[in-house]
Amino acid sequence: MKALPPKLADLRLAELDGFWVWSDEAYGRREGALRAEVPVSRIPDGGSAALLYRMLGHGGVVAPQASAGVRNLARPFAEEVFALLPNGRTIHVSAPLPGGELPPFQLNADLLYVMLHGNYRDLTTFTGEDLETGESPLAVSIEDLPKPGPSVVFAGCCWGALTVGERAVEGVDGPLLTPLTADSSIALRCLENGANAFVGCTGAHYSPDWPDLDNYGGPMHRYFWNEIVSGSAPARALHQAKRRYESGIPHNPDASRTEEALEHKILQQFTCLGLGW
Amino acid sequence: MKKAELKKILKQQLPGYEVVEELPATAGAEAPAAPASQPTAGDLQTDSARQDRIEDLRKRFLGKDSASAPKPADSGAEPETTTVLVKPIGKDAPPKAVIIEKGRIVARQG
Repeated sequence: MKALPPKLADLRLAELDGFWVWSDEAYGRREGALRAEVPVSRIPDGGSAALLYRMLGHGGVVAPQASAGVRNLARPFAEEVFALLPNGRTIHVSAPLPGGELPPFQLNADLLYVMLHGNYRDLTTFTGEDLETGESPLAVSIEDLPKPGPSVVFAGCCWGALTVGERAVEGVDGPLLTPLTADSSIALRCLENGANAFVGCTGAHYSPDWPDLDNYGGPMHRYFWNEIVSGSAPARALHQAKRRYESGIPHNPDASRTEEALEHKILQQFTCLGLGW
Repeated sequence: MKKAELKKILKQQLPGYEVVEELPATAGAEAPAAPASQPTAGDLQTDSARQDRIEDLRKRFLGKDSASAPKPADSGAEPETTTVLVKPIGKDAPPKAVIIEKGRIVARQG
C-alpha cells in the first residue's frame, strides 16, 4: 500500500520505497473502519512446512527473564528504548570501539531489541556504522542467532521484516513474489529458532533526530516495549503501539509535511511476523 | 536541487560525505515505475485473471480502481524535498539515504 493519508497524496517527494510498503493494517479493519481495530500477525511459510508448523504451534510468550540488544553507534536513542526492557544487560554497540566488543554479540535472552542497518538485497546480516570511516561493520549475522532464540524480537532495521525478496515498490504490480526462507532472512531464522514474534519494518526506517527531537521510529519502539513489559502479547503490543503512535503524528510539533509523511510510513510498515499471541 | 547547493548542505550538516545519487521525486499518488527487469503494465494486460486480481486488491485496500486513481501532480513543480544517497568521501562504503528539505537534513535512513 501507499503509506500516505489522502491529505498528503499530492506531496512531491523522493523516498527509497516511494512510500510503498507491505502492510497488514487493512486486515485489522472491520467493515467500514478507517484504521485497524484488531491486532494482526502474519505467519510467513518461508517455503517450509516445518517452519510453518513450528510457528503455529508456539506456546506463547512466557514472562521474560532477560533482555538483550544491539544498536548502531549512530543511534543513541536506542539506549533509552532498551532501558525499558526488564533485566537488560548493557545494550551492545555495533561500531568498532577501542577495547570494545566485536560480534558475535551475546543475544541469548527472552526479549531482543535490534536497532541496526538492514539492506533488502541481503537480509542475512544487519550492520552498524563506523563514524570514522562511514563503513558498515557487521553487527548481527544469521549464523550468530542463538537457538533456542529470543521469544520476542523487535528490529528497527530497514526492510528487516520483509517476507519476500521484493520491496512493495517492486512487487505491487510486478510478477509473482519470491518468498524468503529461514536461510535468507534473519526474521524468519528467528522464528525458526523459536521466536513467538519478530516485529520489524517492510521498508526503509527513519530514526529520531535524537536528542533534539523524539520523532520518527523512536516513539514506536518505546510504545511497543511498554506494551510488552505490561504483559501484552506481541501482536496486541504492536497494535496498541500503532494506535498510540498514530494519535501523536506528527511527533515534532514543527514538522513539515515530509516529516509527517515519513511517520505515516513508519506507522504502516511495522508488522508482526509469527503467531504473536 | 543544484549540485553546488547540495554540496554546501552536506559540507555543513554531514561533513566528510559526498553524493552518490539524487533520487527523482515522484508525486505521492503516483504508482511506482516498474523496474526494467520486470513485466510492464502492458505485459500484465495479457494475464486478465491477474489483472482482475490486482484491480480487486486496489478496490479493497486503496478504495479506488486504477481508472479513478489520482493523477500525478504537475511534473513541472519544484520538488518539496530532495533525497540523496551519500557515502563517505573516497570510501567504498554502502550508500545511505538522507532527505533534505529547505536546506536542512530532516531524515536519515536506518
